[in-house]
Amino acid sequence: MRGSSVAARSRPRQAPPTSVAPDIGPDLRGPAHLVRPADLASATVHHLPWNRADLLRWAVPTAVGAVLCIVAWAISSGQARESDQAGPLFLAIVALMVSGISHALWLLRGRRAVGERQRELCTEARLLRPRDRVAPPAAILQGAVAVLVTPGASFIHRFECTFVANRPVRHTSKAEATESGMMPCGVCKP
Amino acid sequence: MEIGKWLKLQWDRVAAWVCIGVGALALIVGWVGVSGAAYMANAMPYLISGGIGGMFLLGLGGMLWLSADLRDEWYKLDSLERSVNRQHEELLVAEDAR
Repeated sequence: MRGSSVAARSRPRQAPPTSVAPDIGPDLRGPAHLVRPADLASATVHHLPWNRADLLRWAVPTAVGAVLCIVAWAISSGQARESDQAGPLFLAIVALMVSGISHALWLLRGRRAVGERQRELCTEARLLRPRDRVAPPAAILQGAVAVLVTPGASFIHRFECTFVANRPVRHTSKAEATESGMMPCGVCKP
Repeated sequence: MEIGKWLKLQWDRVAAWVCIGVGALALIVGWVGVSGAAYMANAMPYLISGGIGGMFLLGLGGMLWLSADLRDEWYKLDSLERSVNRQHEELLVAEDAR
């Protein structure tokens, strides 16, 4: 796994819940799994979906393929008979296949790394999900956004957002919150 | 955005278009060379350099383009993770304040 996960960094904070919760997995919810900012600061940062070994596994076959293509072309140009050119043609086709396979593997590795990270992030969001959801009054939902009652809160959310449901929030208008420098939540996108 | 900065950020997409362009050109040159050759022996070098070489470059260009898309997706996940972590910290502060 290339990303960092909340589950791996969690620590117990209080007794497990007794109330009935939505079906999101038995132990993956509530503040019992919150982690400390110090743990978050130590999270590993990965700049790309590929590592150095992946780069080598792509670059070497591609370079070999390119060289073989050039060699095949050079050999075939020096041959006058058609029968002597079958070998270089075969060599060039093999080189093309080798480089094509290395491209495909490179993309598959990247796709897999991105998929793994997406799943990790979804798990992290689930870990922060509260046990119970209390639906806010309909009047509040119309045009208003939620802000967590926390010193220094800097995000605005929809009321049904995972991050604020069942937590102390105040409501405000989106325009007002934006003017005061708050940013929209990346998950619920108010 | 300045063109130099854009080129630096999108080097793989630029390289992809260059490879695709050169690959297409190689295919055309190969086709012209093969159609003008009287014997198969004369056509074979064009087939290898223009045909197979062109396909090689087209493949490389396509791979670079898709690779750039994956990189963008990765950066998007980076920013989403930062956002999740910051909100997570806010939740912790709220939790401690209670």
